[in-house]
Amino acid sequence: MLRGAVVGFGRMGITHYAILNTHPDVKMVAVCDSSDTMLKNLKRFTGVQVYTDLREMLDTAKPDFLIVSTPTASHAEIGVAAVERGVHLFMEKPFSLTVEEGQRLVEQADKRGIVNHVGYFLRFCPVFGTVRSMLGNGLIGELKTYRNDMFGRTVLKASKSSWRAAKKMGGGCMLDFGSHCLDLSDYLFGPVVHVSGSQLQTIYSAEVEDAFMSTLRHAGGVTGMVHINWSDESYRRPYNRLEVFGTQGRIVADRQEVRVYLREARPEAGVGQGWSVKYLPELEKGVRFSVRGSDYTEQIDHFIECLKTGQKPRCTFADALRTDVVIERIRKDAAANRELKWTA
Amino acid sequence: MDRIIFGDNQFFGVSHMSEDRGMERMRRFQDTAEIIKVIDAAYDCGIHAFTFSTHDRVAQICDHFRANPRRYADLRLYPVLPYAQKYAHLVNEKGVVGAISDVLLADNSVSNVFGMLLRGSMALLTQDPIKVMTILVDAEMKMFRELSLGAVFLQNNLADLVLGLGIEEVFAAFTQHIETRYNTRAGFMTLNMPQMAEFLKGAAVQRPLICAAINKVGFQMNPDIATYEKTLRSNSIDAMAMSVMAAGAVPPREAFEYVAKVGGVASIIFGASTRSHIEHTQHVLSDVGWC
Repeated sequence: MLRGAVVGFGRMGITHYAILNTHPDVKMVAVCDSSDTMLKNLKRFTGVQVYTDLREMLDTAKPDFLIVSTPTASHAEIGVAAVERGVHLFMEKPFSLTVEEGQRLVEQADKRGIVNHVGYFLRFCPVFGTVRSMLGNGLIGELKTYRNDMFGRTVLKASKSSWRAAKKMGGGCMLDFGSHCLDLSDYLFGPVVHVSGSQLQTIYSAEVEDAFMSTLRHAGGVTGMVHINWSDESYRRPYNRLEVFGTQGRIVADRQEVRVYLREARPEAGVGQGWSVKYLPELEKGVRFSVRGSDYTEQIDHFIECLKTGQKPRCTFADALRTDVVIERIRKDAAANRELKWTA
Repeated sequence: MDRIIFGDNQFFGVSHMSEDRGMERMRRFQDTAEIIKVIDAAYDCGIHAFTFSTHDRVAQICDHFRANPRRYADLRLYPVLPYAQKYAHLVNEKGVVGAISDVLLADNSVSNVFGMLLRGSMALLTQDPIKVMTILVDAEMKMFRELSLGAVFLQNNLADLVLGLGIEEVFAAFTQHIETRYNTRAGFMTLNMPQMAEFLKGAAVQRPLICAAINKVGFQMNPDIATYEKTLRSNSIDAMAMSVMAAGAVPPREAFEYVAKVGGVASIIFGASTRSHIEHTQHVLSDVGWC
């Protein structure tokens, strides 16, 4: 039986806890949060041990692994405390607030042999998994360009209270929505080697960006544009859209369907010439227990499997750190504001 | 129990198949009058049971029902609460506890009844969270006042979270509150029907009403279709089937035939956007012997 603990009992912390609490090989032993109200109720109804001090929890409850679902600014400190005690880590995304602290944590975790995973759950979305196999099989030929968009209605007004609006806490759509898309780009097209044309926009927030766009070039030569906006009321919920162009065709995907256009049929792959569509119901498999969608369960169960077998997690700290590096480059690129000047 | 219940996902941009289709429907139904046209078509086809989320615009539809009591003399509603997207936005802004507190304070009737909330909903949330839950239920249920109810459902995101956390008290208290206050049945939506059925048994909810995806391809049926069929055949729950066509993956005749024959299903929920689609679905349902 693996002993699990959670720090940060907000929406993601509760979700992960519920999924782990039903896992046959896991016993959830402790929860740490800053909200007394939350902790008192949790203790009353579930009997789990609750803490407001992380180190005290790690030292007394002695978990084998820790789920970190706190705001990004606290990830490095929590990570170090866990690594020092040999506690395996599942960290919510994005990984770290600065590349330096992320780099240190990657090194420390690897040195101590800590199993480490970062919660970029789009890597577990069946549609994007299908896209990745299609790209890997060369279905649309040599990859040339792509667009990777994410839109939603997370921030529709100025906020003083939300950590999402505070720069110091890790607010802004770059770290929230943007990191998902940048990680997806990394997962599908490999490491980014060049960043250009980055523009950040504030819409409602005072200190952080609510939208941005940037052009990426990957090691393999494919170039793509990322476009993010978390202040668009017309979307009912966060929406991802990916469009990839290759020499033999095109793929358009969101979380629920993938459409493929092929110039020529590929009978061995079971895809005909022209357009074909695959929908989520064909691609999604049942999970042992689902809360708010199966992807979260696939992801957590994969992490537990890695703990049990020692296999490499699908998104390690080192993988996620590449996204933190790209974020830093985009910020620098946007700040440099290299624009060609001309006169009318 | 109504054998056929009309669903509302199509009116509010929910499509499990395609985001584009969801968007297109959201545009088509942005005028509430368009929704009412479809509701009237269903009603005139003999479907008098409707399930509704507590989307803001459902309040307008309910106003319309109340204003035309003769037109809808035999109406039965099956509300599903809470409306997840509404809370999701608040949780982004204020966190989980802050969001609950905000909803409590925003509701005037609630803060009048519970004057103490003005001094601190946090205190009440610590002392008596079950009471807070019933206040939130009543706040969401206000839009359905004076209308006849078939059952009141706890939405699956919340129900499955509570199931995962293993808190029997929430299910027991929800059931008791719905039965005593609204004089109707409490129901539970879930993505995990077999586990929900088992857990509710432990929470002493007698013969629970459970609404879940039931379709021949196993879409949104966790852990798998075989376990669902076993639960259905155990005859220990009243099952309400949704996503029967698995978001379009199964053709209608095949889809309804499966649900009609699998056994243990009491009601079918389906949604449609036009009168001809409603008529066609009814025709198929009658062909497969459902009604």
